[in-house]
Amino acid sequence: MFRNFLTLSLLLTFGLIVMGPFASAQSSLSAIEAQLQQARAQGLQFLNSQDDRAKKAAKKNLDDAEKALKEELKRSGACEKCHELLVSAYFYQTYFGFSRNYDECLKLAEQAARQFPANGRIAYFRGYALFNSFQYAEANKSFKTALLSVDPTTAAQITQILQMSQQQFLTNWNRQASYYQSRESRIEQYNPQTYRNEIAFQVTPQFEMQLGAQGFAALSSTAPAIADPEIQTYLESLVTRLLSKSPGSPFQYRVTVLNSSDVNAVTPPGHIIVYTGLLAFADNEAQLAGVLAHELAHNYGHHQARAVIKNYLAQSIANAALRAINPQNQTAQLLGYLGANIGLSLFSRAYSRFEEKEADQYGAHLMFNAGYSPLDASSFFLKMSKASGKQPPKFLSTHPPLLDRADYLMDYLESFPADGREFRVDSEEFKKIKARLVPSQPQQQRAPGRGVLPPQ
Amino acid sequence: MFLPQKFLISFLRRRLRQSVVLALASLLLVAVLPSNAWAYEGDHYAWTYYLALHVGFTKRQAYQIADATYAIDWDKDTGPMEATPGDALFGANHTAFIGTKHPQIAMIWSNFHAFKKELGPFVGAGDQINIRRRTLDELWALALSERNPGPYVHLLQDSFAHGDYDTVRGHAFAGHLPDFLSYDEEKAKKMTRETINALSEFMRVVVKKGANPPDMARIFAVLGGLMKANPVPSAISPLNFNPYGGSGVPSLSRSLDVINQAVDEDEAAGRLPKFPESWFSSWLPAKWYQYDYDDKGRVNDTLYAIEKPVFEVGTEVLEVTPINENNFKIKLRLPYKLTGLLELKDGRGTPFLSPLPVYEKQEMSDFAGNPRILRADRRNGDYALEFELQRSRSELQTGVTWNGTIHPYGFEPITRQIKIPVPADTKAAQDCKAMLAQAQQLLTAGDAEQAARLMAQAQQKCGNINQNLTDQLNQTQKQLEEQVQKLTDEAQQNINKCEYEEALRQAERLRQINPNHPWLVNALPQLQPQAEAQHKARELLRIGLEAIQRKDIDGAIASLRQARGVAGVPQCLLNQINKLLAELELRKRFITQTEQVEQATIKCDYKEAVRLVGDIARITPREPYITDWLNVNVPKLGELQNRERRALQLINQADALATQAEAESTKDPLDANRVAALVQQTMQLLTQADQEAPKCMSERKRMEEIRQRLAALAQRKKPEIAASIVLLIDTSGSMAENNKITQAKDAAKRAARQVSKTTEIAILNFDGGCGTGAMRVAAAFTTDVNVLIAAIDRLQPGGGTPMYIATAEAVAHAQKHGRGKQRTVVLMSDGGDSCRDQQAQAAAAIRSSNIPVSTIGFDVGNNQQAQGDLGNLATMTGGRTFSASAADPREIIRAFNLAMLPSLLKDFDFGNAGNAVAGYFSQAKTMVQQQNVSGALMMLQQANQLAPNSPNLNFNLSLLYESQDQLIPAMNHANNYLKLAPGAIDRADVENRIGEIKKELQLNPRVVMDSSGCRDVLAWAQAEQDVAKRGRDVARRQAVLEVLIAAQRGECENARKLQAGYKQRFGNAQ
Repeated sequence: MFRNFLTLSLLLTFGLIVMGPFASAQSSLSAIEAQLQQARAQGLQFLNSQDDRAKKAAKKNLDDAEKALKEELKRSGACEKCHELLVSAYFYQTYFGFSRNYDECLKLAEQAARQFPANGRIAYFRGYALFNSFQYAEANKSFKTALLSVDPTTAAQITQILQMSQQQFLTNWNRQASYYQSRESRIEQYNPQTYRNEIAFQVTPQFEMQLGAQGFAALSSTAPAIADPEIQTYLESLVTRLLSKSPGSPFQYRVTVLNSSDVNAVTPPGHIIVYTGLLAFADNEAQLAGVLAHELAHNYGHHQARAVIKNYLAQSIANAALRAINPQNQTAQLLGYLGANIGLSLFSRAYSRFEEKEADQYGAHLMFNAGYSPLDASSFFLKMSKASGKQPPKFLSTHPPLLDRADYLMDYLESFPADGREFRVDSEEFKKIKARLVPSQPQQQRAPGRGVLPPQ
Repeated sequence: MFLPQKFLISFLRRRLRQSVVLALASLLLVAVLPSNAWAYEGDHYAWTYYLALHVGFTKRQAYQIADATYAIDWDKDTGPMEATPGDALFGANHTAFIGTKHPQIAMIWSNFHAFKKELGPFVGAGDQINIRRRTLDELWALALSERNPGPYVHLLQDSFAHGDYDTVRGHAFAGHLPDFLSYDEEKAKKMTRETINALSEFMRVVVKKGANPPDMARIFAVLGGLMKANPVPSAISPLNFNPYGGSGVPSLSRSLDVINQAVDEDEAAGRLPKFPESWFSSWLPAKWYQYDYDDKGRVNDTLYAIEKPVFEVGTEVLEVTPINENNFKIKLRLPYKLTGLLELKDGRGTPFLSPLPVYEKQEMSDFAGNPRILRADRRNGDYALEFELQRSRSELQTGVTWNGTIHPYGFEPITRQIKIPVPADTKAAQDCKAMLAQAQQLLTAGDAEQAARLMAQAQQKCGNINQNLTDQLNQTQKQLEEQVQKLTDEAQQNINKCEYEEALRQAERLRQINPNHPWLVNALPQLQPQAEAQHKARELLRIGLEAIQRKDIDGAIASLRQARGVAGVPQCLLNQINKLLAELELRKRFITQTEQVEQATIKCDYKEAVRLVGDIARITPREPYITDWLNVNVPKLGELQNRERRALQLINQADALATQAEAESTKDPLDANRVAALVQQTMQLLTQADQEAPKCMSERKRMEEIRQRLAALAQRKKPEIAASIVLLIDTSGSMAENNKITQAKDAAKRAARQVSKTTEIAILNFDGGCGTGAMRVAAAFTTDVNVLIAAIDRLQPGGGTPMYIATAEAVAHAQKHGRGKQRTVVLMSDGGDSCRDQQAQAAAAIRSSNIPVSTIGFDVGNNQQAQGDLGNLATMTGGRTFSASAADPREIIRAFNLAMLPSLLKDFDFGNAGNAVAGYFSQAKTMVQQQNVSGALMMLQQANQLAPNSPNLNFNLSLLYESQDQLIPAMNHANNYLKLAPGAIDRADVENRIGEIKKELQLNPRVVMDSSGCRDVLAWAQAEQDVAKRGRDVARRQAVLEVLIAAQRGECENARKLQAGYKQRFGNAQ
């Protein structure tokens, strides 16, 4: 192995001497490629047998290749092959343990992918790096790009890893699955009497339901409720379908329909409030499911409880001095205060950009799992966006802008194994309910102008 | 120890102002101005007292601590102002000029009043700190050993007042200013916190009790009050120094006013514990007990250590002594003991803080003499709560309890509750009571004779015991008399009703109770012979009745005639007998004629029957039973004639169809479906004819012949059954709830539609008790979906859930009757097994059959038992278990589908042609059995690429897609199957399924996303989207998004149209 390497570097040197410093870049690149192949083999040998010499050789080969490629890139920034090889070199550096994580590799790969969007090799390595750093959504996209421009053997391999990645993507989307065990769900405080951090407050499903009940009490009075068992049953079964396919929601929901032209639905934990305006505005069941899934997703993300904790921490800075003296009492009082006065403010507040994005993501998963295409959420946002030009519909979650969200969802859709899959679009019940809510013959709006002339 | 360390840290933070110039100047000043070191003066006393209360000490303990703290300033060995004997030369008297060079005084100032020790010119701040720390440690050790933190607290507090001044100069500069709390508020607050910490620690170590968390907001508010009461004076002069109210130093009396008022407010607001009775001297006195400290801060005084009183409550003593039968004297005593109290006297020798106020409260639950409250002043010793009262038995029976509370000041109140028992009765009263109770029982049971005998005894025994018993006696006697009157009335009524025998029996009873009853004397002589005659006649009537039961009408008539002849029969009875006789004779005629009709009918001789019915119709008088008989039998006869006619017709039709089927079956090519249809039609006709034809009809022979012909046909061409599936359905009572049975039936019907020529299904249901026969066959194995659906429709819920027994029977049924190679039982239940005793035996039978049982828990929720039962059934037989909630009706349908899926899949149909494909097939089948349907789908998709022309592959793909709720590909593959196998035996079934999917898709439309047809548009739109986004043009972004959505959805045509529109409107940026 070592001799091989010697020969190779001799050859290289020899080549440089013979052909001069401006030898064709092509041939030097193929030499670097060979060097990388060798590094790969050595690295694998090291991983299999813990052979220290192989490790050193691999490291040296990789470093040399990296250096040469960077030089090459300095000379010509548009060198596609250089990018390709450098990405792979960075990948090997991390894979064989010479670099801590794939950050550098991913940074370069992203830039290279932007520069050469059709390059399958870059997408291929980028996909693996993303997969290895647990970023399955992006990995799926990269693998798909790679699939478009590789040979059939590689394609079969990519298909296999893509399936694994998609499996991971579909099962691991809920980052808040163990919310109640996480530090985000509690307030910890240093107790000077015991010299230790103690849990001053822990969010529980009961607490969130309490928040939900307050929110519901505040929101339900904003418009008259409609007691229509048919709509109720339909919405309940729709919500059940969305929830039953995506485990992890700790709440039981009750549907309330409010008679209001607002295009909106709100789900404080334990309740689903649907405005008739939404039923009338949605084109089909899939769009309605999209909005409901988005709102339910806020609860999968525990956004209300997280907001309470965040509020508390903000408030507590102001009260830090008092708390230092009497931590337990102060916390309890403040929480009591927060709990008692949250009500409407918590549910009518705009969600943050981050929360909306998370809810859009989770909502897409809820839809997909229940047999709806996230595409329909996009088309709903598009419809909203179009409608808002003429007369802005009241929709609480209007920031970030609707179009950005539609775009984002379209992009996120790429990560799903959606191609060739069948999705529900509409249902008989939805059509029936919509027909009842929206009179089939809307009043004819006459354009101002001449009109009809009465006979003499 | 952490307190001094903490103190040191704060001490270090202070910048020590050391300046030679200042020192020199101060030396000059000190020479002319007297200085002293009382520090916080009276506030040592008042403020320490208040803080000790907040930390949780009792007022008595707080007083002791405060007093010990203050006394440091006033003792000759520790006070800064006291003369030291024999040191006048050095100016040892502090009140004179500078004298603090004297080592003794310097020691006192430094050790007890926190002045810096003068150590020489080269001593730095660090040494001062070490010395201070050592001193504090010493005093803390002293506090623990002498059990009073006074000197320690004093030094601690002074370290804030004049920790920065040294023993040479005193605080001459500032005069007494630093002794005012208001001089430096920050320092005062710091001092307060440190004092609280020290007191809390002392409490923990010495009193062994956790300190209260201090309410600092309140404490600082009171501190503010203290500072306001003693503002820093503008002028300082040694002349106006007066600790009791002058303006030169803080005034003790003003401080006391503030503190006493604050304590009152705190007690009222609940910030400090409030004793229920007013404290006899709740205010902190402006006088104190002085301890005699030595120059180390030690004190030789037994009353110095802070008081640790002990309060113990003993066991209560209850005595109940009878005064007479019904009244009792009750004595209660709850002893308690107080120890550890100190007898403290104030500076003038007046006893102070000696007795402890104790609040005693006693209360009877029946409110007599309540509550008894006593506030007693107690010293060390034994005491008791005592109560004496009188109560009657009836009062005690209502349940009387005594509640006693003892609450010494500074302790938690202790409350005891004693229930006073009801004393037992005397012997005579018990006997009488028992006797009356027995008489009552006898009366209730209707045994008046025994009761009368007992009452005679009771009359003697119960007199003069008490009024209560006398009342009871009279009442029972009255009841007895009422019963006698009732008996008399009944006897008379029986005579009126012609029931002489019964009347005589009652008369006999009356005679036992009271032989001299006036009614009895009158009625008895007549009654006896009449009753005898009635008895004789009745004997004969009974024989007649038996004869009627034997259908021996003649015998009955004979007996009746005999009865009529008995001598002395009462007239009323005679009338009855005569009437009965006439009726019997009529009936005799009627019966003879109806028997003849019956015989004619049995022989199918309807003409003769009609004639005989005519005769019966003419019988007079027309009794109602005759009319009834005619109403039933005339239409019956007509119906029989009609059925005979219809049956004949059906048989003729069946004959013709059978002939046709036979003709079809000999044709070549053979249309098996056609033959089967004809056979089925014929069978239906025969079944109908069988129902129609009367049993005696001679044409039944022909029906048998046709059946044999059909059987011969069936043997000629019989489709091979591949799978036999039993649907075992729970019809227990609980299934009736929430409309579950309807959902289950719908789902079962859908499942039943999976029958085909190669798959037979049986519907079994179970409910009821734990015996055999829990399982019932609603429909035996059949390939006829209509039979199955009709059977499912007939299911009715009711009874228990004998799950395992029924499953064992179902498995046996499948084994015995199932014709398929694969036999499966699919069990659906909504609860756990209700026959747990027989479970093990049934389970053994199920296991030994080797038939997989898949189970569906329907609306089981978190019923652990049901889950366990269903799960075990599945695991032990190699089946699978599913669950479906009632909330979504689709779930149960899906569960049935998944449970049946392994049986419905077809085998590979290319023989040995493709081993790889066969491998995928078998793997897919295993995966389906393991419930991994998506994995199985992947396998079959791979197989489909290798062998796209396999009909069975397409069939299986269709089934799997459908089970995954992917209806469009399911339909496509089903169509492929029909295309590839046009003569499939289950063609009709598959066509049916396709029809249903089509219907579903029409109602609930779906779409398959497939953008492969417009990748170009998609790529274009994705690139264009970036351009539009950068341009911040909303309309443009909307338009491109529209193209993108259409392309992603696979609506390529629409996408291209939208794309063209876009290019026209915005141009093509790319």
